[in-house]
Amino acid sequence: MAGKVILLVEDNPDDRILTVRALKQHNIANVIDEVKDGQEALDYLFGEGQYAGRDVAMQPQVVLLDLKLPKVDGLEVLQRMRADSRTKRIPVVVLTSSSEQQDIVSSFDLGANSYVRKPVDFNAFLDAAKQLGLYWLMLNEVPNG
Amino acid sequence: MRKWLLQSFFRQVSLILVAFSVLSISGYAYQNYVDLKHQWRSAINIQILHLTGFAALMAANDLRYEKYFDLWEKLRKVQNQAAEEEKGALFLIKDIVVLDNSGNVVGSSDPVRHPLLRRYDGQIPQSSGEMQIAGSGRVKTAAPIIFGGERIGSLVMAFDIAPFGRFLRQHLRDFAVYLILMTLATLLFGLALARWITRPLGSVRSVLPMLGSGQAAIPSLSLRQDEYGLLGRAIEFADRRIHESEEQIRMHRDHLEELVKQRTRALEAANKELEAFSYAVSHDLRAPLRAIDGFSLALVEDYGDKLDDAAKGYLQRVRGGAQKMGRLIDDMLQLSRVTRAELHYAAVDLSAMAEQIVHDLRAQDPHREVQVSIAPGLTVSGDAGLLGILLQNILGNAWKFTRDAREAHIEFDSRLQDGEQVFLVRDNGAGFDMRYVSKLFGAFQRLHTEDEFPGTGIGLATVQRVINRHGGRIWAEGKVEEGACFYFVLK
Ligand SMILES: Nc1ncnc2c1ncn2[C@@H]1O[C@H](COP(=O)(O)OP(=O)(O)OP(=O)(O)O)[C@@H](O)[C@H]1O
Ligand SMILES: [Mg+2]
Repeated sequence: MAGKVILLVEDNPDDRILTVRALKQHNIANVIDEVKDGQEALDYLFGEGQYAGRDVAMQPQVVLLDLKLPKVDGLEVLQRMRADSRTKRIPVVVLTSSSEQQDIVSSFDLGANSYVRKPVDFNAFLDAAKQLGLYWLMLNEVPNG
Repeated sequence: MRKWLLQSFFRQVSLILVAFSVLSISGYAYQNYVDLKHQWRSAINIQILHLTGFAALMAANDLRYEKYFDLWEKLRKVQNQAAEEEKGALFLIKDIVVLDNSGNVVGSSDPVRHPLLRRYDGQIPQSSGEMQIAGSGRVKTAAPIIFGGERIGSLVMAFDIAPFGRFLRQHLRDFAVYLILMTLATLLFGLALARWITRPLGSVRSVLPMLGSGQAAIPSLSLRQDEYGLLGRAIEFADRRIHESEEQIRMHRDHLEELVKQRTRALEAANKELEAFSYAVSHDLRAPLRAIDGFSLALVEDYGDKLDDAAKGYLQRVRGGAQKMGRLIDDMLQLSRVTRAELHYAAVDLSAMAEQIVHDLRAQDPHREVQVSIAPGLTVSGDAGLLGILLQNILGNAWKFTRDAREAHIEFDSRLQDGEQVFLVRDNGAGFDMRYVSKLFGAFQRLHTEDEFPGTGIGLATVQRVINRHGGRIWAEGKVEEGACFYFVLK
């Protein structure tokens, strides 16, 4: 299980709970690691700060990244990820709170793979995942079909 | 000549002055000449008659006593004496002849011309001094010779008045010289006068181009005490006034420019703020809504079995409210984005755009049967993004408000009106009351209730802004239960 991690970068606890709930509801069995701001996300990814000693060879399969974050914002996190060979290839799905065109355009410019409008419309998310080739998303067996 | 005159006031004045003085001087001179001629002529007349009468008196005695020699002697003396005196006289005695009552010459100053005791061969003027002109420059007079109350003969005198003619001609020459001199003098005087009259005009003219400079000074006028002085001072005053007001206008304009710059800066700042604000709105305002909606849903889904139908209904309403507010925020954001967005002009195929929008509407509402006719090839120059929003709202409205129509029909077309291409979207839906047409395009203004037709009332306000950004116009017509038609023009 350890390798099948989804990293959720989201500062709003409500959104975190709802996103995790939606993922669970759709039977996604991956471990979901949650970080609350951009700095924490970078520490997580590069094994620094409170995550010092984390095995950075074990990177998440996908990062769900909110754009508006305290301390270091989502776009900067994205930029830093794309600039580092360890995180360059991790798929990033941007979470936006509105269709603020500018945000979406800049996140694609910085190498985002897809975007999903909050609250996570799960069918849209699964579509995006399929397009990204995220076939590894581990879906739990649905108990009764 | 006429043009030459009309071009210069100086010439006009000079001409009038010169013509007037030449005419009056020559008139005066002529009058003088005529008077002189008559005066002298009558003076000569009287002299001649007196002379004749006097000679007749003198001859009476000699004639009565037949002293013909004495008579001749006297006549000759008179003539000679007259001839001696008459250097510079106006007339000369030509000859003197004495006749008896039967018309024979009995005495003569010049017996060669008029031999004695012959009939007088010339004409005799009527007696008692009548005067007769014989030939050129000759005048004859006659007087009766009386002795003792009885006429005993007549005396005829002939005069040469050529000197008088010469005298007149001399005078005429003098007058001509005088006239020429006077004409020259008046010419000079007239020109000087005309110059004197028109010179102030020249200084006025020379200062006119400077008017408004604040430098106009015409001391040659303004220092005078007369009406020209008033004029000069008035012009100088006007110059200063114009200068001052121009200065003021310039100041105001500079100030205005400064003000515009200030306002622009303030506006730019406000715009930035607004941008930041709407970003915050879009992000932060939506977060709590998501929580309300999401957790209500979670409640229903996860604890549905523990809730009764009323509780579920309430939760449904909570979600409805949150979603509605979410839409409202989105609409408001779109409204402000339309105002801020940079315009990128390009040729836009409105027909294709409308087709796509209707296609999407059909996909969202598959059970609706709406007949849509879109005229092909309606293109316009404008911002594709904004025009998309415009058509989406107008067609979306037409779609929404034809919900209850029996055979819903929507039409998109254009027509030429007063040289402008007017686009129109017509439907046969719920329509509206023309009394409220002015409210149509205001933000949050609706002519239908939420229960009748859902909506926030921002769509047409957004449309209006798109139109404004393109410098166009939009207006609408409608009738309750019959339909509505929206017209718009883009620049
Ligand atoms: N085609 C139409 N037929 C009849 N009424 C219309 C039509 N279009 C607009 N209106 C009237 O004008 C009002 C304002 O329109 P507008 O598009 O601004 O708001 P809305 O459609 O009610 O809400 P929104 O578009 O913001 O969701 C509408 O509420 C409706 O009463
Ligand atoms: Mg509308």
